[in-house]
Amino acid sequence: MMRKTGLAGVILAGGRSRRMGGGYKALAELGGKPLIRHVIDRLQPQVQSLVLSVEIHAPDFEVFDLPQVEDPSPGSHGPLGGLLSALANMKMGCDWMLLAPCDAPFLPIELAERLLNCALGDDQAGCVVRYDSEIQPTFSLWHRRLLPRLEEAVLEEGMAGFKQFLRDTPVAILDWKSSDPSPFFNINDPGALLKAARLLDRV
Amino acid sequence: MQEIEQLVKMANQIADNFSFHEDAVDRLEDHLQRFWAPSMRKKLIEFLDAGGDGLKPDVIAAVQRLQFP
Repeated sequence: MMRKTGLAGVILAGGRSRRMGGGYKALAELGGKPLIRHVIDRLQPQVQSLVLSVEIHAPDFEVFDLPQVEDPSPGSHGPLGGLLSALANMKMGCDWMLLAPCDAPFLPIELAERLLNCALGDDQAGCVVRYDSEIQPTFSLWHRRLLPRLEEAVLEEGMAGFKQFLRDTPVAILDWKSSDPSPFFNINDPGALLKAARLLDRV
Repeated sequence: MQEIEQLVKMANQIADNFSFHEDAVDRLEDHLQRFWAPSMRKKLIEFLDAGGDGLKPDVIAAVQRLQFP
């Protein structure tokens, strides 16, 4: 697989999860390794550089040897805040930021390429996956030139979620064909973690 | 990996998260009741009945308190 130049990636690694026992969801063990390791392994070949988005620096994540990007200011700014920090700290030479959550162990290995082609084809500064008729804003690609708009939305208007942001920011939509298991399957509770473990034995 | 291995790891990991609380076993029991599906609790109970190899002490204590769902 070709490593894309000019493309950076960020994993939303932030949150602790009550439903997963109060620890970092990213560190929940799946098939012998932390959940987020599955995501890192699938994203790293797709991007030139990869960072972790965290609320505040997390020593527990140092083991992954990836730079951590903290939220723009104290208090949770949600996934939009994570994207803002990642874009603001994006390496020179990169124009696009691939965004992904830490809890999707089956995410597609051709995600970046398809998002980029779709964004370029529609001449938009952002591109978001749509799967089973649902917009999946945390599987998305964003151009550097959206930084001022994001700063305004997060820091001045106090937006935290993508729904609101997407209302007045045009993006390309990448329709992804359904398959089983869903490549965007994400783990929100212990039952889903067990299901993922079963799927790992199969996929 | 065997399904039960994943369940054991999940339970042990959650026990680790709670381990610095004095009432860790209470919290663990509560967690298993609230967030684990009955079928998952059942498998853990059966596994403990069969010896429970690899379960951490807090997990054993919490699972012993669970009613068979």
